[in-house]
Formats: sequence, structure tokens, C-alpha cells
Amino acid sequence: MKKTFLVLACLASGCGDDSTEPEESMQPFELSFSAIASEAMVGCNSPMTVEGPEGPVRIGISDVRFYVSDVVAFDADGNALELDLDENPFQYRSDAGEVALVDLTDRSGDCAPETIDFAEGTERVNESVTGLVSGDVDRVSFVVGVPQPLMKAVVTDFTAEGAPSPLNEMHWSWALAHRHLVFNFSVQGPAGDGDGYVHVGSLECGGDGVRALTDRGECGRINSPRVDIEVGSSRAEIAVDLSTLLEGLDFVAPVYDPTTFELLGEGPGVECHSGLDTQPDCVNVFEALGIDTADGSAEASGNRTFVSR
Amino acid sequence: MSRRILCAACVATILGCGSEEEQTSPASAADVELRTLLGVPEHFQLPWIPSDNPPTAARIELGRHLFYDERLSGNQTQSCGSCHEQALAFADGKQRPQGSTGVLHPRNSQGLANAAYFTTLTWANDGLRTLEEQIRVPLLSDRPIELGLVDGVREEALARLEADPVTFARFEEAFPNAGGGVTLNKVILALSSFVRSMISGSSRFDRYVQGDTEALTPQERDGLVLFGGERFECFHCHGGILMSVSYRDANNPDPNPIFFNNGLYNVDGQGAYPESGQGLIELTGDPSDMGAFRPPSLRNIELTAPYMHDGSFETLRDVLEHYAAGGTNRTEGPHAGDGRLNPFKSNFVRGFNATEEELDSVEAFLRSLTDEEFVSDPRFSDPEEE
Repeated sequence: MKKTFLVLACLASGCGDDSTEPEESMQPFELSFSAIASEAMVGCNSPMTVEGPEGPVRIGISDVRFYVSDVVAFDADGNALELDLDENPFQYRSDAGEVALVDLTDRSGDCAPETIDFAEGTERVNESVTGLVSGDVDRVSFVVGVPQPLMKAVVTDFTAEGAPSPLNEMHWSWALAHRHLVFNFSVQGPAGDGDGYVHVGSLECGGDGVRALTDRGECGRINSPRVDIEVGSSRAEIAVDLSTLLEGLDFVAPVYDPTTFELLGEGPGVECHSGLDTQPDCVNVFEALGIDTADGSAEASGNRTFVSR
Repeated sequence: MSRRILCAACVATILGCGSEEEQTSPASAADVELRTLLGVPEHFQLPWIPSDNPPTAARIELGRHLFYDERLSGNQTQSCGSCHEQALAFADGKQRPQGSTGVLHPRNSQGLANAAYFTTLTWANDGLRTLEEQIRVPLLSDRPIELGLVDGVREEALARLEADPVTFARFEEAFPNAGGGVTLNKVILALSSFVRSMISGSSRFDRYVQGDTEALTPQERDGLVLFGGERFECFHCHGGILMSVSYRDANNPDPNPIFFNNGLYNVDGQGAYPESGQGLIELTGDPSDMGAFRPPSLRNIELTAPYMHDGSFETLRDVLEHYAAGGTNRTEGPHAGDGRLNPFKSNFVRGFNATEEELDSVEAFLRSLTDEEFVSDPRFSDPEEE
């Protein structure tokens, strides 16, 4: 398995036949992630305040998770380095691709299940993606999300074992896909209290007479953000700026009667489940992540949410 | 006599022609075995079954236990059986069900009879083609929460099952040599196998189809004629052995999904349904999918009230009057609007003139689809209540 990956990495980086030689020169590689709001670190026990149209809004962070894949490290000359990611419960590799899950939240503070109506966060936490790299890293690029071939392998897998960790999380059952990024939070502002749900995932994955994705390689709307940033070190620190992700939102969402499910009107909250037609909040969120709202493709240059720290 | 001939023609219209040809080919031993295992009656084709989940008696039995096991919800308060009661042909009698955390579901809970034969599962999702994929929804869904096995509590729930030696042994029997203990996929595979075995084909209508002309009363036979006729048009959406044209079987594994707008709402005069339930458009974003829902099976329809995707009709007569009017015209309330004029409405919902006696007959026919054997069969019952 490891060998297969090395060969694939070589093909991608054009490192030729000498891939086994530089073993000794491999050095630790780490992308460590944190959540920030305008430079300040935020998390389960560190809420953030953003400016809404009617005044400050307190955001209690409940759940921040996202997948990271297709990691490429570049040296100062722009050459792709050889990269050998670790395998552990948060990092999975197979012939269909490799993926890591970053989970910045446990179940303490605002992450306790009772703080929002639809809490789903896990106890386990993982703040970094680790491995070995063949040289000094100047720049990294990666995709936020489950690669489509891997998603296809997992979504269509009905073996007894099922999805391996970390692909056993963030499934999106109704959409027959995975979510790439989940950000759940409570909203407390001038207009009252509510919940916020930002779920970015692939859509249009349903099958044609057979199971989802058995008849094609990828979903109609992939919706995987891309990241490409200067880091200047093989131990890079990357921040997810949650205030940027929520920029421009009015913190007003539809409110439904909990017993009748009738639309009562609007109230405090954020709703984005990647449905651009029916969830106006998604337009801002997608824009902040550099996802093209027209077709679900993404450009790293448009991603303002993932930044070097 | 003329009535009997008419009825025979009617059955042919509803059930479709050409099936006799398929039935003449000699059944393989495997097919015979499968028919026995799933309890598929002779006048049904075999259901389409995905190759990665061949049913076994042990898998079906594990599925039955899991179906009624409240440990399989996040807070251990609900099982599949909470919203799918056998006595109600696996519907729940409520307008809309409440999930394990108390959240109301936007859609009515459907009966599960013959679920194996649907082209797509649930009210309005063109991607859910197999029971295995569908069952992930009530188990895992975070919005609305049904059983609530969300990421934060799922492993704990599976560990609960694994810690029980009796349950663990059932998993071992259903998945011999698989190893790995209790996994989510094993739960899904077993539940799918159990639901696939929920076959309802012993109603009086079935006996009539099989040649027992006395199985239906004269009134029910009149109703059958009207049901299959061009005036009422019921059979265009509710034809076939499933009583829904969203049908697939082993000989026809790849049909196109089918959804219709039946003129239930028109809140803006341009065809909109209430925001709480707009149908296929919620997934596809295609304006022409507004109000489009899969036609449900009418099997055991007497027991699965209330009706429609939002449970908004209490009685079968309400439903028949809706179709007779060619849609529902609401003159007041939050959903006021003339559904009869919904631009996305199916051409089959044209409305028709019918006497009360005729509506009585169709209603009587629909009640003949009740399968008493199915709703009392111990193969589908809660093992705790045996």
C-alpha cells in the first residue's frame, strides 16, 4: 500500500526512478490547523463575536470538522516534493486516494450536545495532518473534502466492515455523499438566540437505476474548496478563519414551528446545506471558500477562509 | 358475466401485460430458494436485490430484532418500529412522525409493504435507489433527527449492541467469518434484508388476481373497474402489483424514477408548495420538480392513513374527492391557493365526474388491498412481544 502511494506521489511530482533513495533525507511534515476569528484563536471554550447588520452576534462554536486531501508540498523553486503521509485513525490511504480528517472540537463548552438543536460533534479531536517530506517546504496545496474516487468507494461500499476511520464520519445520507466541511454553532444576537449550520458537501450524486456513483466517477456538484498557500516551513500552521466564512451574513434564517414544521417566519440563525437555490446563506459561504456557485468547482485563489498563520 | 370480463380486462390493465411470458421461463433452483426465503407469492416477480447483500434467514432475523431495538437510537428511545407499526402495515397513523429527540419530520411515515419493489425510496429523492442507501437516512440523518445515530454517538450505540452477547451472537450468525464485531454496515445490511422480506401479497385482491373471482364483492369489482378505467385514471400512477408505477423487479432492474405533482397545493398561484415540503425540487433545484412526489403504494392503504406526503388527508374519501376535483382548492389558511391550477400538475390529475356510489365502490376496492396476513405475520413482529 505504502509503495503504491509512493509511486503515485512520484508520478504526480515527477521525481523519477530514485524514489527509494532519499529515505534518509525525509523530514517530518505537519500541517497543523486551528480555528480563528480575526486573528484570535476560537474553539469550544472560546466563542467569537462577529458584526451582524443589527449589532454584534456571539457565535458559540459547537462543531468544526473538515476533510483534507490531495496534499502537495512544494519547495522554493515550485517543485513538488515527495510526501509520505502517515496512516492513523485520522489519516486513511487506499488505492482510491488518501484523506485526513481535521476535527477541531470535542464535546466541552459550547460543543456540548445540548447547546444547539442538531448537535453531532464527536469527542475525538485531531488538529494536524502529518507525514514525511523530502525537502524544505515553501508552499502547500490541498483540497478540503473527500476526493471523489474515495467518496465513490465509500458510498458504494456495503461490505460488512464498512467505511474505515476517518471516513466513518460526516456522511450525508439524503445526498448519498459525504460532507467536506461541517461548522455548527449557536447564534446569540440583538434579535435573540438561534442555531447556525454550515454544511459544505457534494450534491447530485444519486445513481441511475443503481446505487449512487456506481454509474459515474463523481458527483454533479463536487463543492470541494481548494487551498494553495505559502507556509515557509515543513511544519506549517494553517488557520480556518471562521469570521471570514460567516462574512456578510445577516444571521437570519427561516424559523419553523417545532411541532407543525410550518414556516413561522425568520429568526436568528444561519442555514447552508450546500443548497444554493433555497439557502441564500450558501452564496456567501461558498464565495468565502472559493467555490463556484454555478458548477461546484473551486479555485484556491478564491478561498479566503483557509489562511497561513 | 360482462362484469367479470370487464374486471379481467381491468386486472390486465392494472397489472400490465407481458408478464406471463416472463413467468413461463423455468425458474432456477436459486430463484425458487429466494422465493421461499422472502415469501414471494407466485403472482409476483422476484424483487431486484443488490448483489452485495444476498438475503439469508439469519440476516433477515437479525434485521427483525434490530428493527425493534431501541438501543439503535442515539438516546435509546426509538426503533424503526416506533414509526413503522406492523398493525398499521408499518405506517404509524400519525400525520407526521416525531424523531427520537422530539423533532417533527416534514413527511408522513409510509407503510413498508413491498418496499423492495420500488424504483426509488422515500417520498421525493431520485437518488435513493436501494434499501441499503435509504436505511442510512433514518439511522444517520442529522436533520431532521430520526433515530439520531449522529457522529458523536454512533460508535457508542454500536458498542451497546456488541456488548450484548445474545445480539452479538446474532451478528455472528448473520455475518459468519466477517469478523469486526458490530458495524454500521452490518446493521444496514440486516435491516435491508428484513425490510426486503416484508412482502404483502395475500390480500383479497391478490386472491382475485390469482383466479378466485369470489374474493372481491360485486361493489369491490365495480371499484376495480373504475380504478383501472380512463375516467378515474388511478392506475396510471398506482398500477402494477405494487400499486405504484415507481416499480422495479429482478427482470426490470433499471427503470426511470417516477414523480408526480398531484395538485395538492398552489400557494403562490404559480405552482409553489408550502416551504415545509416542496418535493423533488428540494434536491434537484429544477423548477419543474415543484410538488413532485413518488406515487406511494396503495397496498394496505386502508391502514396507512393519514394520506399524502404531509399526511394532510385523514380519510380515503378525502383522497378520492381530491382526485375527482382534479386537485385541491384551498380558499383560506396559510396554504390558500388553487391546486387544480398548479402548472406542474400531472396530466393524469384531470378531475372526473363520479357519483357517491362510484366513489364508494372505489373506496371499497381500495380496502380489499388490506392484507390481514401481512399485518399479523409473526415473521415481521416484534420479537419482544412473542
